[in-house]
Amino acid sequence: MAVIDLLIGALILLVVGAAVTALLAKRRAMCGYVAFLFVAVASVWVGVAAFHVLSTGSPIAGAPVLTIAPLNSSLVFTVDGLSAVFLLITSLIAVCTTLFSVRYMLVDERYSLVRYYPILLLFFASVISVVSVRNMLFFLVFWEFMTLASYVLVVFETDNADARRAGLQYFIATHIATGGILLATILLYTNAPVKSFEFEALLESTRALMATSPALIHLILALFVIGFATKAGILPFGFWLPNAHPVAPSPFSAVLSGCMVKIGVYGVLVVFTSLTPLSHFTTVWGVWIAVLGTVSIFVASLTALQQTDSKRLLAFSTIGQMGYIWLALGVGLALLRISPAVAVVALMAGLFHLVNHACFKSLLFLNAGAALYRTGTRDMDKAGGLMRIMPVTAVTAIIAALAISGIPGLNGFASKWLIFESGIVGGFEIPLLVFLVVVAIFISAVTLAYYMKFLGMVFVGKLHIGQEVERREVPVSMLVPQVLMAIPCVAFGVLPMLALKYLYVAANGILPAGYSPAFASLFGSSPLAVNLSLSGLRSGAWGPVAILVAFVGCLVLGYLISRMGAAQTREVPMWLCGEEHDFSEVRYPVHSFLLTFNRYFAKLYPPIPVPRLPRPTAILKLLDIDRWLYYPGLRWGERIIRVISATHAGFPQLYVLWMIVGAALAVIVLFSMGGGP
Amino acid sequence: MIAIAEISARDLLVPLVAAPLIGALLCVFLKRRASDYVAAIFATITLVLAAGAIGNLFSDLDATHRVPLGWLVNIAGESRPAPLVFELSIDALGALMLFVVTVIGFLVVIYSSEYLSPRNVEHPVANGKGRYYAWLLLFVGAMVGIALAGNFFQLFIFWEITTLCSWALISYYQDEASLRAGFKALIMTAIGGLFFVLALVLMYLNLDTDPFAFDALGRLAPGLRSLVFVFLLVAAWAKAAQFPFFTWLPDAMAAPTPISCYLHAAAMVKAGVYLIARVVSASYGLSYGVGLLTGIMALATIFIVVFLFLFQDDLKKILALSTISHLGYILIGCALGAWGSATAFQGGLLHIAAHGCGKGLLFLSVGMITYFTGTRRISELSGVGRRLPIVAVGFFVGAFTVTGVPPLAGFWSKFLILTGGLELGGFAAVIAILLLIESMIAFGFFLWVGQRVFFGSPSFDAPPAKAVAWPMTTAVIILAVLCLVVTLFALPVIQHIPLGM
Amino acid sequence: MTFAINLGLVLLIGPLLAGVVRKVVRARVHSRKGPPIVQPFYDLFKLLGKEDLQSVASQVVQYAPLVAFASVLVAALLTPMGMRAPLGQYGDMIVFAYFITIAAVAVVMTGLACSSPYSMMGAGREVMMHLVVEPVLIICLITAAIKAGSLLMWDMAAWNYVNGPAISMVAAAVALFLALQAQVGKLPFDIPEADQEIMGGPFIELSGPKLAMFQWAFFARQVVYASVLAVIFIPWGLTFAFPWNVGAHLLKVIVLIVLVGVIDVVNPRLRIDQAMSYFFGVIFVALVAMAFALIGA
Repeated sequence: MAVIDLLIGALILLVVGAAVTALLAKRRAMCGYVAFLFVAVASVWVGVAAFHVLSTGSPIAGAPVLTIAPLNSSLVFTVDGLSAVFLLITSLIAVCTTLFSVRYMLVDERYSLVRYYPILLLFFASVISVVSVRNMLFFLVFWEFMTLASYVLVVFETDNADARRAGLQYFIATHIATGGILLATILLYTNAPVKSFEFEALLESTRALMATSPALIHLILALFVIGFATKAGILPFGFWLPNAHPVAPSPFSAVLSGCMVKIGVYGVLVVFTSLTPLSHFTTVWGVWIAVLGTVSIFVASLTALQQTDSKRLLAFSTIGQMGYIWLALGVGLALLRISPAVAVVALMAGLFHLVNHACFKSLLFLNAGAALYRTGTRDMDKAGGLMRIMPVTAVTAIIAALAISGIPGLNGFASKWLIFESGIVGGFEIPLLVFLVVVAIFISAVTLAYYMKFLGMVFVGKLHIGQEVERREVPVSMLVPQVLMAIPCVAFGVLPMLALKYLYVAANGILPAGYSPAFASLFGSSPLAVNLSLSGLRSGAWGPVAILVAFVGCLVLGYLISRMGAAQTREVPMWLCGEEHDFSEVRYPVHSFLLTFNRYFAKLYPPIPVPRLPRPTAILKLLDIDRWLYYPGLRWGERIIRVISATHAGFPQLYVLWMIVGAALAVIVLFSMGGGP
Repeated sequence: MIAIAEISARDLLVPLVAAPLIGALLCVFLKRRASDYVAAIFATITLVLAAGAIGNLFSDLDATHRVPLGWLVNIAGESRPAPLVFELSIDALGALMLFVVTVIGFLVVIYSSEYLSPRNVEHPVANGKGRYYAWLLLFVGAMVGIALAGNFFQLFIFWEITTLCSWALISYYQDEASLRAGFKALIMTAIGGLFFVLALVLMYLNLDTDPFAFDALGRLAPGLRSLVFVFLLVAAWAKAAQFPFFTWLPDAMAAPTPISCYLHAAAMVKAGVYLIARVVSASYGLSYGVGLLTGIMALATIFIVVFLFLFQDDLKKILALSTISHLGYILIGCALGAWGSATAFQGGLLHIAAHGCGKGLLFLSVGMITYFTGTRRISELSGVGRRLPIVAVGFFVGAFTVTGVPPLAGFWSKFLILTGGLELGGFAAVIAILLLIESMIAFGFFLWVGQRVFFGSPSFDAPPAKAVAWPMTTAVIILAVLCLVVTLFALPVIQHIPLGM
Repeated sequence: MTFAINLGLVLLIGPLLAGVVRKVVRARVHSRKGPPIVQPFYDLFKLLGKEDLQSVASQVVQYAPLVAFASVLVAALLTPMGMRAPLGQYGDMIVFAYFITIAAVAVVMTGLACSSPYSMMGAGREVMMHLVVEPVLIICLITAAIKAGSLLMWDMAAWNYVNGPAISMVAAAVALFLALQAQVGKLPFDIPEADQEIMGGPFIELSGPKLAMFQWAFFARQVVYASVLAVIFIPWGLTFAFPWNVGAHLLKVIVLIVLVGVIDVVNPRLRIDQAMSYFFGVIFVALVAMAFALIGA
């Protein structure tokens, strides 16, 4: 059996699973476990196939499954290094979130699960399909089906007006974006020398068009970039994201942030590596992508700082982190022709951050979901200090939050570090990039700030929750996924070379031959440390193992010093300058935290006004053809007929008269026509 | 006993036309349940025969099977051969139409057995079902006749029968509104029919051999050819409710919902676009101008309609307006076909099937809503999905089909039209892009309507447990599945439909 | 040995310098005699033996002081102090910047975990100050990195020693010096602690060894920040033989810290919004320095 059959088998399994779970929807717990079973097996198969590709470095392809003859397109599943990366994160997230869902979705019995598990499974199937086709037509089909499935899950809580509004906004925005992508694709297709939607054919088309009509190519690339930016939540096109992510059921929020928005990144990579030959267009659009990414970083992160809803905060954070990924990809694409070594590192940095973000952001949504499951509220003012009752959730949340804010030793730092390094070195060639990186670094401090806020308000601190809340940890089936997702956060943090080795395969696969320098010449040969050489010389270093050893050593030193005096401990009440207060009276509200700073950026993300169309009565009247054309016409007709009917008076004499007149007329006509011999 | 394999498509054509007509005749004398059963049986027979004929055709999709039946007497007694006027034939295009007509006809008949009942909240119906089925089966028969017509003359005969049927069925409830609407439909489509007659007369006068054959236009002088085409186009506009004749269709919503469904999804209006598709498929050398006329008028219709339905509160009227715009899509497919794009033409033809399934599904879903709630005002409905989940699925699948969300059928047809338009370039590309924009607007609006009607807190109580209404549910489910898979069956057939160049 | 030198410099010289500033600068300005120079050590040892009062049983409060302490020490090990840094080959400027940030994170987490309104307010202020002060350090270091073509701190120092001074480096040095005051938490920027208004802010609930560890970490941090400024932007003496190079470095650090002390004594505290507006200005100066570096000046 070929490896690709594992992937196809997994797809079949997911579709079958969707049918089975649809039939089981009434039995809520069982439905969840069955769904998990299907997803787990499918994910393992997909994971094995993807890992096979990454370890051998050669793409695998299957036989055509379906052929659309009028469009010369056949559905062939192909996995290359790039798609393997996406497949791996998809399978990890799929397993974790489905397991998390089992108990999470038991709670609210108002909604039938027939709208949850089957759709979720189909969603995973479509995500897997999107990244494993190399035909733009089928890419679009799976892409939009993915949107459709995710829409159904976003509006899962149909009684919630916010969910409905967000779902509407989401689907319409992304549908229009897809329309743009579709248009761009067809424009390429119509100009292709060989009429086909295969990536290779479209690549030739782009190559041909570049020489003849560069303006059209810019238009096409703009449509692609905007389309994928919309999906990826890149501002200003991803405005739907902060509304849609919080209202979806938490496990699906995790999927949205961890998995779906990433497919937008995949799309952009495909466009610039598989559909566009390397040219100055790549450089120009690379810079634009970097700028878009930076805008997102800046606006979204500063807006996240102002949120009081935990999941909304996480959603803004997703936009911000996607901005980092776009920045890295933009740097990579911009420099690809100028300085391939830096470009490869930047692209890998982007992919690395993408993988990392998939891990920690999904984890954070699961954490927030666990908190929501227990406390029933997303408002950070209403529930806090959960570490006391939910230690495992809290610890994983702290790991994830520290990782995403880039604390050294966790994976987020490793990828951000690479992004910064490649950006700064790339700035030697394109100075603008340095300024973008400066913004990114500044915002990484902001990221830290809002995650401090998130942790501080929700998990750390004094426990304050409603009376009705059960004071214990969430069930095991919700803990396992959290722990599972925390593992890569730590593992890739301590051993970044582990991930970089495989990401190099992925990046290498999408670049033109001869564009990627050898792995060791870029990252050094030590498996424990990243010794970056970007311009020939060694230009940066991050040896997590050595530094963490030193850190632990210093910790021990500190501990020894702090125990020197053998100080005793004693429990005391909180000191409020000698005044007696109830805690709830003096609690510091989320809103006040960082208030002064937020004032500077309060206007950064204005709410989008919804236009109210007035009823254009004049135009509607004009379009009502009946009223001004047909009915008056009929009335005239009626009048004329009434006049004519007056001739039928009922007198025989009158009828005889008509007959004579008629006969005379007939004779005249006949005589005037007859030409004679 | 004759082995089934030996039956050729030709043997099935006569029974195929006859079956619904016999059923119609029987139904006239039957009442209530009996008429339900008889109608269902004859609809099934028609469906099976159609399936046989289409299945037979699959062995050679390029073939045309003909059964000549009658000739017109040469009035003037001239020396030229008598023109063939009655001829049943089936080819790929006819098969496509036959498929849409019989499948949806069958589902509508099944659906009606429950819809027209005292349990219907909006319009309880106790008797008069025999009359209903008689007209409906006659309608099916007439549509089968159109699909199997071998020449323009016969097409015209059946065409006028459908006009008559739609008049009777629209006025079925016999209240003020429906009588007016039926009359309006009759008048407007009959005026269109007059232009058809004019076209037939012109063809007869100017061609000596086979004046009514589908390829007749190609044999006319170019100027005359355009004139005849325009006459046929006007006839099609009236039938397919295009600008400026579109006003009868929203009014026709006074009909019982299954009838609206049949009128919109498969019959009546599709006859109009089928005529144009026939012409484009069979004749070569249509001028650029007539393509432009078809395209621009269709485009105008589409945009007028999309504007109108933003301000519409009646669910069925929204669907009616949407139908008008989708017929515009098909006509644009034909227009682009006339300009030489086979891709767009195939897209237009596929849209006949795709829109048939999608819009049929939408109507049946809305019909179930009115059946249970008695209202079809968007502003009075909410939370329907909680009470009637199948209807919600039906509505959304239908809406996504007609607006073109992959992988549903509408996506493929729109995609083909779009591709064809952009391939041609120039003004065709502009049309294609405008279509894409319309598609987005319609999508947004349908999604909004769907959310408004199906989500939120329910506006009515749960239907009594006994009122399962399985015939309606079954019809909805079958159509929903068809919306997904119809492309797979239809596309291979459509590929074999020639484009007259 | 380099480990010992760096750790010794920050752990021992740090508190001592604080004592020097108190005795030589503050007491002189106040026209009083002042405590002995080693008074900070007395304070630290006293605190280490004092009772540890716990108002919140939080793991975070338990470990945050140690984390702060350790992270400052790691930052110190990453900083070249007159010679190559002991961990310099394992971490460049970005690693350094992030490690020095961890100390601030520990402070904030402590403040949040204590949940006292004072500590929360202090934590918020700490975050805000950090948000505006840290970019200055980063931008200045990037400026040096652009000039040196490497992100390793020793390379930057070496480049400046060989090729300096450059306009951009001087401008960056000025910006960094303007930020130093806040980085070491001195007036007019000791807003997060602000003993007279929010009672030490994040540290209000801390006592005994925990407070001692935080204080010691901050004494050490002064030296680290001063060292970065001294070694990269004022690189004279880099090639002296050991121990003169360390001596030269120490001298520069002492001068810087005394300067900071002088400013501390003669200024009143700013409000947080005033401080932020001020640092937006400093960030602009730093950006100008970076722009100069990019155009090669």
